[in-house]
Amino acid sequence: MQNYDELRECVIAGKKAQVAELVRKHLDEGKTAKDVMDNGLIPGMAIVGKKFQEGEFFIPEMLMAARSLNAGLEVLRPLLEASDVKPVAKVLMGTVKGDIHDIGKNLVAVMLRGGGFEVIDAGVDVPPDKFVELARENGADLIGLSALLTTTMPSMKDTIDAFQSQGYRENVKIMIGGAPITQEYADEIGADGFARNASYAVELAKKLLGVAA
Amino acid sequence: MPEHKITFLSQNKSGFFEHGTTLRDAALELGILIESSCAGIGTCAKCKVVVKAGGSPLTEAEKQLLSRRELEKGVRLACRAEIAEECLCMVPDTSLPFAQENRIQVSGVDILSELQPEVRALPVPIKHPTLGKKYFYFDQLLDALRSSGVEVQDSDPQAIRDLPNVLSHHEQLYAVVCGKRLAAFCQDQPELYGVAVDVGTTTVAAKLLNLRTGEVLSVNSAINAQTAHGADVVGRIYYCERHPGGTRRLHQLLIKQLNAMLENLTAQADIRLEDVYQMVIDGNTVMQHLALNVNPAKLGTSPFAPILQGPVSLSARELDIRIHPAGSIEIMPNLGGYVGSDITAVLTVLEIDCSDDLQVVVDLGTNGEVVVGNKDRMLCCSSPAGPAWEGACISWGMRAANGAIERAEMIDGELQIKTVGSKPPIGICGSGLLDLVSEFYRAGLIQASGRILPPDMLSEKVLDALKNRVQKSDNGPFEIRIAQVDDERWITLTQADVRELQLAKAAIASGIDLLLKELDRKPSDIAEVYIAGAFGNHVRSQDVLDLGMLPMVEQERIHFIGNAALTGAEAVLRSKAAREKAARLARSVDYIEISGRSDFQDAFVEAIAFRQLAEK
Repeated sequence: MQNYDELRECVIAGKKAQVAELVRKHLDEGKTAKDVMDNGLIPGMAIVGKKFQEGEFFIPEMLMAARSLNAGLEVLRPLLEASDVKPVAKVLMGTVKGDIHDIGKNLVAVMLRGGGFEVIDAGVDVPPDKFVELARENGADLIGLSALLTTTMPSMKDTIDAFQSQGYRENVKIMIGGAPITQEYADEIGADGFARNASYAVELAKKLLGVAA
Repeated sequence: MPEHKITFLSQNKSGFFEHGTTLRDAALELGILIESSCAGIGTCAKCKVVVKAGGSPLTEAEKQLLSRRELEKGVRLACRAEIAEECLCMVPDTSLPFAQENRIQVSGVDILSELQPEVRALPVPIKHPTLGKKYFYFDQLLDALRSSGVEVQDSDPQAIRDLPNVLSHHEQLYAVVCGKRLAAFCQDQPELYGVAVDVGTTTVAAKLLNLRTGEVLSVNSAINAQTAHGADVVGRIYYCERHPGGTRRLHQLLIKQLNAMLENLTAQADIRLEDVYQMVIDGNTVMQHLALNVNPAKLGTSPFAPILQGPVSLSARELDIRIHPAGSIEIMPNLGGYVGSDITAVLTVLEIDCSDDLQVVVDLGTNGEVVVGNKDRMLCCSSPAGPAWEGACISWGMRAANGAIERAEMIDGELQIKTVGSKPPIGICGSGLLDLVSEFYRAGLIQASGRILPPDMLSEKVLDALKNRVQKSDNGPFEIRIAQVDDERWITLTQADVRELQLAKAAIASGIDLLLKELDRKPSDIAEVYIAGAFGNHVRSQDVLDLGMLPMVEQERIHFIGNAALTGAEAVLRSKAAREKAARLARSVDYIEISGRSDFQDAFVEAIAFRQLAEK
């Protein structure tokens, strides 16, 4: 375990090139892709999440860390696929129709990837039907809906209703988040959970899917 | 549903309400306006009240947002707590927006414009009829006006109804004309007054002018009465969407408020309301829609297009504004998206449209806007900074009322603060927030990333007195103590507050950055920067530069112009040239929607950190 320290530090500090390099080095040393992922990248991102929650990190640091994580994942992806290692679960993330804010959604996507989830990013201003279609296509287990404007919150309900009316609601869990969102609103529109920040989103995702933390 | 009695001990008001009514709704019904930035959705924690008895069980939101000590003292959120039985509660002063006199910027830049108002009183000779000749009084007067070069296209019916009473044996009477509309006939030369109004999301400011002399007679400002239904424009749109008749309700609140302000203005100047013949109004796009009782819902979702641009001219009677009923209400044209006629008004008093040099205009308000350009091309965009400048979503945030920390300065390594009215400190307003963050940043307590450093990471150069201000907060991150309120409590600057400021300033900085790019210009091309808005002259240019709200320009090039939107409305009231300029600007300034652009996120994230300071 000791020898992942530097990799973790580089993920935390957002050193993209070094992360890719260190991942390759560990693989060369004979570590499995899964091991590098589980004991290097994921714990690194967990610390990033903690620092974010504690106020030490903010959006730029998070996005820097995200880039370094992605650089590491790029190296690992072909190996993980070849060795048939499944991601924890598949999450479909998007900002709901009428809303075009993507920073919050991207932060959640980062933290989920860092938590070992596969994330499919549907983008912004995503119509309800598109969410259902993408969920089906990709076999998503969890849907993450983001809205930053009080005026676009109703699109979250529309999206959940679309899953319901198209008979796909039972196949997925749905979590929501964004500045104006509250637990009460989540309850009101029948979402399975509400995450007040990107770090908590990972915890919630695991809880909703019954995945060990 | 059973009804219970609720008594607000602090206001000495009580009433009966259905079981389950929120304390906020009950308070509103009883005429007690409780502070709220989130319009009652339970996220801002500004509506704290103390419940002595009869409240519903604590909600999740309250458990999260209130401190342990507050919970022990019975503090509740008025928007969450419901009446469960006979209920007794108190509203502390800090939860009342109107509890104190708010000091709001009403002055602006000085403009010397000609006095050529649209409203005029013209003497008209009466050629009395003779028997046996076809003659009509009204038509004769119009003919007389026409021959003196005044073309009236439309007449107020009441002016005609009044004519029999006004006609006398005099040789002449006076016709009051607003543009091409005949508003009234008077026996004697009437006094003519006009009112300029800037309707901000948070503040409404108005000015009364004598249109014959050009003299400013009185000024008045107040917190926008709509704030109870949403702190920012998106909140207001949401209210219109969520409540049947919501648009009408917000419209009526504004009209009621304008009428109250008119009463004040005319009383102060000791003139009659019916001698006011024109009101020129500017405001952001949502305020414009609400002034016209037009649902602003389209502005609430992408692609954020307004219903109309304007200008719109109506009679006072149509809007139920209590100046002369036939007087005109002129609502200035907006520029696009969220960039409203307040910016048109600001641009009217500046001379960007005839300058070769590149100029930048920033309006620092709840709904921030940026304009960049020169005579060849002007671009504008909206950069919603949120209500941080008004003290909302800041832990100890408040408006610039008595006791608000408005200035902060580091003197000999220690912090000195100044409050509004030199009263004991009770909170921090927008300008104070800006000062505090920049001082602590320069002092090394806050890093360029915005992080408040733990005491053990501070440079040895930082004095102990300052170092000791940094404390670990209850929920983790560090915070900086500013001033002691009582034995137990300190006003603090929290990590989350610094983050809010960073988001607000990044919105402005990235707006400027994108407009510069769009014009293919560099920050070094900027000749002048004008900062309009609520803080006016309470901000130092050094601070906005150090925080990285503006690109690096020489300090002398930054001008704080206060409430220039009100000055712009005044200019339009005074002069034809300004009126025409405003119309020209509305046509020529291009609106850029930045939030949907792929490079916006990069520019925004880039702008979150503070400017790296040179080593001292």
